[in-house]
Amino acid sequence: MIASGSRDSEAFVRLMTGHQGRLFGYLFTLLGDPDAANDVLQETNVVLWRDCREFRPGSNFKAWAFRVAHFQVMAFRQRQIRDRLVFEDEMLEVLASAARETDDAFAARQEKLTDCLGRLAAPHRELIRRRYTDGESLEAIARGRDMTPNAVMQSLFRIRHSLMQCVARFAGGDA
Amino acid sequence: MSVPCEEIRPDLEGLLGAMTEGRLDVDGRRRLASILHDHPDARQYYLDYCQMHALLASAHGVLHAMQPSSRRRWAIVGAAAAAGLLVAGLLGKNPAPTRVDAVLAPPTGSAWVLRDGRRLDPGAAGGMIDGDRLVTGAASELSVRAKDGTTLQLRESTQSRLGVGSDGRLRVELEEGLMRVDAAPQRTDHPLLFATAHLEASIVGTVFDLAASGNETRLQLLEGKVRLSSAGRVLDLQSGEIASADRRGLVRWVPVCSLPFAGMKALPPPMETVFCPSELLHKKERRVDSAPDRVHFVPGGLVLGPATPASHGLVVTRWKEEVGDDLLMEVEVAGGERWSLGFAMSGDSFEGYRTIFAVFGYPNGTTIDTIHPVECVVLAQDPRDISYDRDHTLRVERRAGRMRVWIDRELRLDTEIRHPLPDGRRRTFALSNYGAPPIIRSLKVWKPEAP
Repeated sequence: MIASGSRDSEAFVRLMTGHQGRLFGYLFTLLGDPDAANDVLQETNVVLWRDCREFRPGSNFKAWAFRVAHFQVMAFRQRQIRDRLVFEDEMLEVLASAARETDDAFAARQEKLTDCLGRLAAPHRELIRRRYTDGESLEAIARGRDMTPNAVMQSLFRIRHSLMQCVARFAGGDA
Repeated sequence: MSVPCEEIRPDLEGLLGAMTEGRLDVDGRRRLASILHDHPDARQYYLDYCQMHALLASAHGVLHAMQPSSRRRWAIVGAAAAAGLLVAGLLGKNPAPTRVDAVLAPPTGSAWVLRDGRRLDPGAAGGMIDGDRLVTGAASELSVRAKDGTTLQLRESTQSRLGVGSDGRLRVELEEGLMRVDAAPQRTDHPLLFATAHLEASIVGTVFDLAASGNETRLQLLEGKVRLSSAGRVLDLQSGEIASADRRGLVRWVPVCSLPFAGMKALPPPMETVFCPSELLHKKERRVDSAPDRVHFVPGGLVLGPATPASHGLVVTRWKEEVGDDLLMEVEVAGGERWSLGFAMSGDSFEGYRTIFAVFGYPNGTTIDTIHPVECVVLAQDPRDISYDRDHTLRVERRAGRMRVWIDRELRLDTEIRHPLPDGRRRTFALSNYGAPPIIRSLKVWKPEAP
């Protein structure tokens, strides 16, 4: 049990912070929409923080957080119009299970990603930086590069694909 | 790394690229679900791809360090970063937090301050410090008053973060919810800064409502001027205008009308009331007649119905001029007895798309339909209740074929509506009855500025 303002409380916040990327990845996989994943991540964070007293320091934070996230996904789906959802319930469960397994490689891939980003061609790295760090829209990036937004979208896909290959190669296999 | 088979790879690449940008349409969603269902190899690729997007969204530090020169970071698109705001304030990164010259008024309902991992009662929080997050619960409000007289009123279910810029200016980040801002005059070269995930506003003294959700931000300017920036576009908003910003970009909505019915005794000249008797409404020989006496005013506002009992039928109060297909309509209705009300846009209530709130026979929900040419065609429905015991703000927006319906701040419907309407119709808007009418306190309508 965590007492407010205690050292455990600080450790809990650090666990939450450290798992933001992993939770987002899990939610994005299940929802197939970045805005929806963002919304549900915020809701998940609120529940995690609200229920932090239920968490026992030293127990499996990831398992608990992913379980909370999964409940939030189900609640979110109930609020949505059917045609806004990407996956049927059955596929959702298949993906949820597989996503939890894939997440086991998150930390290792995160470490490799730094090297892989360094190996990108400078224009590609710049494109990723503008999209992810500066948060620029496809349209804004396209205007500055004399490209169409669709071409920027395709370029970003290809760069992500090459980073996936690089991370797997560094890991010496199907990481 | 799993690579999907050649047969589906081009299709999958296009779908995943669009999905990552939040641009997957209904057909795309179905196609993606179908591919993942039928191709296990594509499924693993999908999992790895989603994880890569999450890794990149979490890689701000690495990417920032790799850029040649230091730039201001304004990144919320990285979803993890956006959500990370929740805990950023809790961590209290700054060892000597900067004081924010602002005080909290006692909240109405439940509200608290999140600071250094602690949840504080506003009354016990003392002075505000940089990074404090303010949170209000349901049916609750919290007011903040800055030293210069600027006030922020956080409405219910709102999360905001207060900060101090490097130049000492107050910076307010609205993460979610609605905030009424009454900004004291500032030096033009020293504006207050308000930020959401979708836009940044520079304020030199004005009154506005700022609402943010995960999907979009809206700023409704009540007085003064505001300079907004979003994704490289700058927009100077005038009094009475609304700006909305989402992944499709920044849009200025200019007023068509603002009618405070509560203080009026007659409809303004650009509006007229017409009537069609029930027995003719769904027949080819439908007849629509002028019927100014079918509406009346009471001290609280407009009622779509005659002052004395009369025959049943559809009462339509419509705008006479063409205003276009895309519109934003907002109505305030008074709480009390059970009521029902229809909006129409892209045509009047006989030819356009109707949004019916609280339909009898479809208890308490919301429906989008049309009665062109004869029969009622239901296009979308939401079953959630509308409470009659309190006032509501009803809002309907149509933009580029998409219709969205809100009750107060809750989004009830969000869907594409492409059902054909008659070519020769007058592209206007209207209000109509549907059973017992409410007291309509006000009607406001905006249209998007032409690109």
